Amino acid sequence: MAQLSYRDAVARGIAQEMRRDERVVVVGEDIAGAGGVFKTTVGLLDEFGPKRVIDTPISEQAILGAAMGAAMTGLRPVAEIMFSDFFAVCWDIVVNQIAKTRYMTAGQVTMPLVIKTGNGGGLRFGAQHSQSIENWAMAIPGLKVVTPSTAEDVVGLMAAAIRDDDPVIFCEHKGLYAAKGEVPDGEIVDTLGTAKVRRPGRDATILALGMMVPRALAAAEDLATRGIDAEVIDVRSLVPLDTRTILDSVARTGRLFTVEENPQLLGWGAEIASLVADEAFWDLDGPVQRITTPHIPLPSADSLEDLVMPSAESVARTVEKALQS
Amino acid sequence: MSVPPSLAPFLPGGRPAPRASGGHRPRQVHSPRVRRLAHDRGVHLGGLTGTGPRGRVTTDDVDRAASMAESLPLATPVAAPGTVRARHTAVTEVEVTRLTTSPDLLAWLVESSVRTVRSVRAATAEVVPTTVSVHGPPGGAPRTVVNAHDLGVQGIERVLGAADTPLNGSEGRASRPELSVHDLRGTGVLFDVPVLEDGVVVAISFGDVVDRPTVVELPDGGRGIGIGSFVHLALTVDEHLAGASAARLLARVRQRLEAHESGSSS
Repeated sequence: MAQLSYRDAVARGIAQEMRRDERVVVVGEDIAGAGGVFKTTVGLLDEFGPKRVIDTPISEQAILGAAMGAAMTGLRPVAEIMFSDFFAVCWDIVVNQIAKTRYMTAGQVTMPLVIKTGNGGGLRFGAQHSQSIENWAMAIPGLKVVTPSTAEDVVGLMAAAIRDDDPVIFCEHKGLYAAKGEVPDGEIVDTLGTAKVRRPGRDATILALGMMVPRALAAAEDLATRGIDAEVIDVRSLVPLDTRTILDSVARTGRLFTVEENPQLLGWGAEIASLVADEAFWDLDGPVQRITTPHIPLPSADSLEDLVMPSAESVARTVEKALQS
Repeated sequence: MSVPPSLAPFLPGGRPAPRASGGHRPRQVHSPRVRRLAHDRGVHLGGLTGTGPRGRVTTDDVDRAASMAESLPLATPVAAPGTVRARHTAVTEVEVTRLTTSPDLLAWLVESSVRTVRSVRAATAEVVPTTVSVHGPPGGAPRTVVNAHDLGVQGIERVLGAADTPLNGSEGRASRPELSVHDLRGTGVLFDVPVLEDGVVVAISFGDVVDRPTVVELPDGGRGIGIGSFVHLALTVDEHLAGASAARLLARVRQRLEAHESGSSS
């Protein structure tokens, strides 16, 4: 067991799989010599050499085009899109090529490809470098979408993503890169499509993703001092989605809240609210409530960004108010 | 800056303000969870006072109501052989505003009584009563409804209205009534305690339906005074109906009638 930062866990997860499988390669801007702009690939070039850890020009289309070709011809690439906002410039390759190849070849060509990306806000990067794009990706059939919130999950879910034969969008939350957590020694392999109950509770279910998980946990601790026992579930994987864990929790608590770092319109919580309306309506003891950013780009100014992002305080306030009305 | 209404909910502070309640007590809303629990535990929500925020009925309220109903004394004292048979009577009042037109109140009462007695018997694995002796209105001959447990309210009314309804006992031993319903409407009497005929273990008596002022819920969620129709019910039970007290049985009959009245019966 060792204390590891979230950013070091990314490199550890990739290295674990590169040692096991020589078909695993890493491509992206500044991921080799520089160890990644966010230092998530430090040490990989030294251990695995320039044939498996490859710097690319500043072209997201080139990165994903190369990675897609590599995946189609037998490698298992991990490609980095430095800021998830930049998916917008290579979305055609992601949506029309990578996501659809397995389907359009009737399963003859698999796409064992991980696209890792720095995602989310809170670091004052402004409107074009702070977005949470999980809901862009989860709308596309053929893509899997994962967002870990702890260092241990980064290692295990990265391993699971690399071993998966389908393309996985692996969202690393930029705001968590410096966060440290206990990570067991030895090989860690997690399972895609599984959520984790981070804090059990009786009165309300709070679903959160990425950096919203520690905030939801802080809110739950705050609520506990006022007699509200909230359950916090780390969704971790949006596609596939662990509907069992979510529905079981709602059946126990009767109340559901989602904490989303994205605008409310068509955020992932809307899909879960729809699921719960379909599958757990008679379990509900009140309306599903979503805590999201407003329908505006994320501001650069510290005070404004803090204002629009869900906080532990706003989560606790919303849950408490709902349970008292 | 004007905001298109379609986007308003997604802007900061853009949610429409809650509608003003006009100073009235908010309308009673039951969550799906509470409604399911009430259904499962046989609790009529309309009769509950909520302890939740703003008077909302909570799952704890439903559980408490169900437990109270279950804690009513179950056992009826059994008299020793050769002694006088023990009988108990309980009386209540129930609103029947919507049950006095068609089908007739008598049919609703027969249905509710049969279902109640049958459910008690099913719980104690005894024979399910199927035959009801119906007395009144005064002046008419007693009528018998056989296989009453198979009939809905409409069916019971049809049998009661038919000219060839078999007279009490004409069907022989198999149809000997175990339940009798006594309709005293038109006599100016609220209820009586009827003599239990041989074989009858439960008798229900009801008299004149009385209109009087009552508290009603207004369309805007507030409360006002309206006119409701009420009837007294008296239920007498014989010791032979093991496992049921008059109070418990009457509470169940009343609950079923209230469900019919509110349109929430299944």
